[in-house]
Amino acid sequence: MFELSDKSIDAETLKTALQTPEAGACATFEGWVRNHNEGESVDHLEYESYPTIAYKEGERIIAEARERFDIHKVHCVHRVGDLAIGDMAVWVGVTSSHRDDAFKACRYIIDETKARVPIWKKEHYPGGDTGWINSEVREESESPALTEAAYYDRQTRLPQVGEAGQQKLRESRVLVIGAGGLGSPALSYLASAGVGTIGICEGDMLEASNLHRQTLYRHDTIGEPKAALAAQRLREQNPFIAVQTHPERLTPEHAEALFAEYDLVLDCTDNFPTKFLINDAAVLTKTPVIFASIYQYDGQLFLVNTGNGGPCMRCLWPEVPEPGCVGSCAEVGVLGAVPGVFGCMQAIEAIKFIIGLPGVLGRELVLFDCLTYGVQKIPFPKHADCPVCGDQPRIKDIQAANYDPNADLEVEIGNLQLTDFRIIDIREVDEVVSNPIEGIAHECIAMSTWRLDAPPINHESKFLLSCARGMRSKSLAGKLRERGYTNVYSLIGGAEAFKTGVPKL
Amino acid sequence: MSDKSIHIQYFAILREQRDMSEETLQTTVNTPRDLYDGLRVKHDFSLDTDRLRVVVNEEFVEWDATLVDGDRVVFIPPVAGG
Repeated sequence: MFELSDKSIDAETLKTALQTPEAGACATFEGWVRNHNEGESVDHLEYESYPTIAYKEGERIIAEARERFDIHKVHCVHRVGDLAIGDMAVWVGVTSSHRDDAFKACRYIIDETKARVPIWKKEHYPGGDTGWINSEVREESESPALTEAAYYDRQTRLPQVGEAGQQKLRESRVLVIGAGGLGSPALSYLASAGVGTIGICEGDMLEASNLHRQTLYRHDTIGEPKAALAAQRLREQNPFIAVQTHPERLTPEHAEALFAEYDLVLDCTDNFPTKFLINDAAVLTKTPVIFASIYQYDGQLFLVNTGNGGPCMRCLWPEVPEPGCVGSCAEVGVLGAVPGVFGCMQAIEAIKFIIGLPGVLGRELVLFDCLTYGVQKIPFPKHADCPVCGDQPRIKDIQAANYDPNADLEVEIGNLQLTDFRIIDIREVDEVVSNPIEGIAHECIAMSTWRLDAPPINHESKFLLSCARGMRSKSLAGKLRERGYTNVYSLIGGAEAFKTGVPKL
Repeated sequence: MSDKSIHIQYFAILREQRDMSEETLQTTVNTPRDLYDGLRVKHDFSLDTDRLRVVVNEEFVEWDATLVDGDRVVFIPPVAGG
């Protein structure tokens, strides 16, 4: 919590109150009154505040810190009234499971408090002179030159947009699922176009390998939740919009409820199970969705709007494709500007749809190849036997099992191209010695030596884990996937499978 | 069986496996299925026709549609990258 206090700060008591059994770290900051400021000697100080705004802003800062960092308890107290040299003027304490989040959150809270909470100090100099010093004034967005009319001027000049179109954007609510390569430009242009409420659904933390294409993010925020980072970036970009975060993967349990909060959804995800979940939720809730998907240098764009009688993704692809049959960005690579182009196309399509501009996609699939600049717009018809939007739909509600992202966790040796994988034998040393895998390139890293927070793998290759029978490798691969390593697989049958299976070499 | 000229465009994993975006072939095959199956053997494509959609002259068609001289064929795999 945040508080202003006219009594001296008792740091020990405050710190004790932050203790919780799950806390493994506590970071505190103390700000003291010093005897000089910018070359002047100072005798003592007076702090004055505007309490209503100070409390509101202080609580907002703490909420932001909770969103950005994994922390347990927080307390921030700032003194008001008369203070002598050496008195404590401000105290911040944060507990968390690990030190990194405690340090970062503590730093964030004190920096933002100094910059944003309206507290002024009056310095008393030797000889009786005094001077009011502002709280650390930061450049605020509310400069007189920044008005909504000026912000959107170049857009409202378009005869097809105008103030009426701008008002439609202002009233619209758009959910973007996935704040990655497609989501970065899509979110950025929706925000700057003035979409009044933008939702960001994204459960990942920022990684180094995201940065070449995910232009919303800074290199010094690796490891932080992308939803909060993206929201902060959009708020900096446009102060006239509201941004909501849903910092989790879209799940079958909450997809329909989430869709109900929005007028339009953008699919900026990178995997089939989630795309099919989005499609089915779109059909069942009659929410329009603009889909885009890319592969290396080309991609596809289409609109699903079955409320309007249009087709859905299952009219084109009735079932979720088998895992691994078509590669992902992590597997096959991607030029960052390619999702950039398609994310921009999604933003354009969203704006067209909201305002009602000419040429809104109907029943067409757009194919665009960035190598040849070839573009095709192919009519795709609604299928009477579509499993979700057809005449006799098989899918009548969202069943979690249909969208299991771990459906491809366990693989059989006969279906694999082993050269596509880095194979790791995770058996313990004595097991390997008595029954080695022979004739197939592999590494041996015993399971007992793995650290889940720093596993000996990366996101660049596909990893096939093998144990004796496939039980331990399944368990380990499952835990790694929970930590974002979707490129890890478990070999059914383990070491035995290499002897009896018929791998393609 | 008469020879026809067919223009073919490849997308996504097919473009990668063919290592080109488009080509024009002289062929005697009569259906997109026969055309693809032949190319699949020749270029070792990983996907079979069950996993693909085919477009001829900018319309989705069935795999057993009839091809004629000058047709423009596009093979489209599902794509999920983002």
